Amino acid sequence: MEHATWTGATLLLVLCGAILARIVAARRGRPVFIRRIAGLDHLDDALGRATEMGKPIVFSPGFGDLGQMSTYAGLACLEYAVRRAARFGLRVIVPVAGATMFPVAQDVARDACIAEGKPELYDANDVLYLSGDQNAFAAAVTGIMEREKVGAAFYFGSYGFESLLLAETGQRIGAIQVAATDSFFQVPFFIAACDYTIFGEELYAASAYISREPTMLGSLSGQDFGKVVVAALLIAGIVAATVAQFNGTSSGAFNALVGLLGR
Amino acid sequence: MKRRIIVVVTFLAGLYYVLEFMLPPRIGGAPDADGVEAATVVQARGERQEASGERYIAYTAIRTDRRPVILRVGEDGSGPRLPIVTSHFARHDDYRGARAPQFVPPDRMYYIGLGWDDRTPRVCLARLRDGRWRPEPKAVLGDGKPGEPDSSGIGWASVVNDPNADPPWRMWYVGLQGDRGTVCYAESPDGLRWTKRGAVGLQNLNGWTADCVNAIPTAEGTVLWTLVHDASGARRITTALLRYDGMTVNGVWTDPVKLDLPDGASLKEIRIGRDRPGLLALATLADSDGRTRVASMRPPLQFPETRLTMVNPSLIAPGPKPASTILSDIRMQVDDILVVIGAFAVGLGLIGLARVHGKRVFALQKGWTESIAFFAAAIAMASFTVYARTHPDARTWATRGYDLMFYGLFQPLGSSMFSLLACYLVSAAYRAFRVRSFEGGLLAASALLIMLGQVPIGNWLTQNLPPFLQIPKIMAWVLFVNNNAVVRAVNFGIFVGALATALRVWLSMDRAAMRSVE
Repeated sequence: MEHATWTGATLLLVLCGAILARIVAARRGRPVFIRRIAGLDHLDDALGRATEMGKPIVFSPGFGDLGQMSTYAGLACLEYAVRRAARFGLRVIVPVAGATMFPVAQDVARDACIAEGKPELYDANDVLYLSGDQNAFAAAVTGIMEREKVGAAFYFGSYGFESLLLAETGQRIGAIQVAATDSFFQVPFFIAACDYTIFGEELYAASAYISREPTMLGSLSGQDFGKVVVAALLIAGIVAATVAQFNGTSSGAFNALVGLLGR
Repeated sequence: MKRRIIVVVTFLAGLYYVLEFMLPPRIGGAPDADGVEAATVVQARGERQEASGERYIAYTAIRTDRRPVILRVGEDGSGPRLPIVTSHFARHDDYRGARAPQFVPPDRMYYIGLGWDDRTPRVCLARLRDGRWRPEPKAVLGDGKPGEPDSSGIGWASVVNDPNADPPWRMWYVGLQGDRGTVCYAESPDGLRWTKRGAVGLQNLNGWTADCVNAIPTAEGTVLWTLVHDASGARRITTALLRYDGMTVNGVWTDPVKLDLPDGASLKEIRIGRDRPGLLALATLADSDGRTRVASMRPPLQFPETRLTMVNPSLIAPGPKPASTILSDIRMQVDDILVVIGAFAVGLGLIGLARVHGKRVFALQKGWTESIAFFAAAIAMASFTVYARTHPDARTWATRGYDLMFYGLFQPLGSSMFSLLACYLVSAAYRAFRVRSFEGGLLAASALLIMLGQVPIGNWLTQNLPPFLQIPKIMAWVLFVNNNAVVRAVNFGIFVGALATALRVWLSMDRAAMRSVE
């Protein structure tokens, strides 16, 4: 089994410490700046357009299960989307691929409707556990999108090859589509077929961006600090490798900093 | 109460996995707790360079959770065990460990370094300066080119220094090519810059793989002691007298040498060197549980040698075992518990599905016929699968039903769904390659470049241009330099984002994760 090297453990502790410190600071009222994420700004536009068209929306929190961090990021955005939809009186269909996610997604949707003071808008039949098989999941979701003629589709979470099947179907039926994923190889498909695509770490930033909760904002600020640390290590590594190459003390891409981080 | 229980259980489960990952699986214990291998006798000169300096044994210390290191111990196996050559983070060639030392008088120790790059073994050198062994910054002999007998590295080396010979430094080594070991030969004017001469012609070892080789200069010529094994793992030692060229046998060999091994022990490695009087063999013996120890053996004084006689079957035994942190020992059980909980969740999902579709059927809501189809399919598939799995050899209508539903319906339907990707890809590509902005133009240009670079026409179009203008070269640069950099940058961001989310979930700060218990 894999165990942390001491440098890896140190780096992990520094990053976790920074994230926790920022969360505590944000909870105590320290202001946190977040840059604009264009795709998330258009979430409300997509909901508004679906309302005007009188069509339901589909929100898929990914093909992942509760073991994947991207699923939690997707669930946080689901809560926001359902609350907004409840405000507009929109119906939200939530297809779920993981059995463990099914009750959680139901609770998120129900509580969001209750929080908006419209519990009657929650329909248990709209949160659907479809299948853990990619093909079956894609077939079921595309079928729902075709039959219901959805006005907007949101894909927030991890995806496999079904990303293109879903997004192309949405494109064909004229739905406004917003995708956010950390599945790097699905990004081109989403970019080609969706109106707005958020990828990589922005998926994790999305929940903070739209909820504006201090815990989330602090966590986001900690993430940024973590990226600064990683970027500093990268620059130090590049400098060390370059210097070693000129001095002739290194063979190939190896340098002392790389060696130290491997310990 | 329910929330508190879930928060505590989540925290404890997370704490277990964090500690299991962060802490080493074993704490304390000796650096040679899991084995003692490949030893050599060292007769170091004293500070005033007199020959009567320290005499001790240098050997390889094995710990499965650490890198192998070279330790020293008294010549009778007693006394403190001190490190003399350890890997260093700034050295490339023995980054992952040092093993199999060979002392070459007066002040050199050749050893096998396990390199940074996939642990490829190579020959390294440490020199005795100011009473300390100091490794050279780079290996003195590395792996060969693809196709050569040492293309996978060098597993063992035996160096002979004779100042009166030409060349004065000669090395016989075991070149590795995959799993196969071949005895090879190299020469050097100074023991630092070596020239490979190729494989040694040991005709009697055809079909055997070499593990160790030891060269002993004698009045008749150089005697090569070789430990080999066959495909079944059976080992034997053979000796051969070499001609002066170091690569051909003089026609005299002993095959095999008789061994005097204790019951239950097998020979793994052997280092033979000159010692008063005659020769001394330090053999690595493996016990039935896999732990290794070093034994001392004596060959006869005259070639051809026919027997190795045991002197001390446990000259250097492994050190005290480390204590377990328990955390790693119970990892499988903890994982199993999570699998069981996950299985319950599948049941939960099925119940949810049955509830949704059941309501629809009883209330005759829109789509109730599809709900009936769901129940029929689920029950049929479950029944056929249970029967087929419990009667794997049966050939009845039920197993045919399983074949029909799984191989005749489920898999073809899945394949049909997957094949739709081809049409969707064309449609998506058409939209993506429409140049409507500068960024769109860049995307289309790089896509065209990547596609052209991977087909023959791309090469044909630019084959007469300078290399930096050839499409395959540009394609490789875009794909493996620019694209790789972007992928890694995005992955770093994802890693930090996932870490922050995991931390929030673990400490129950994440609203989405805690939603079901609030």
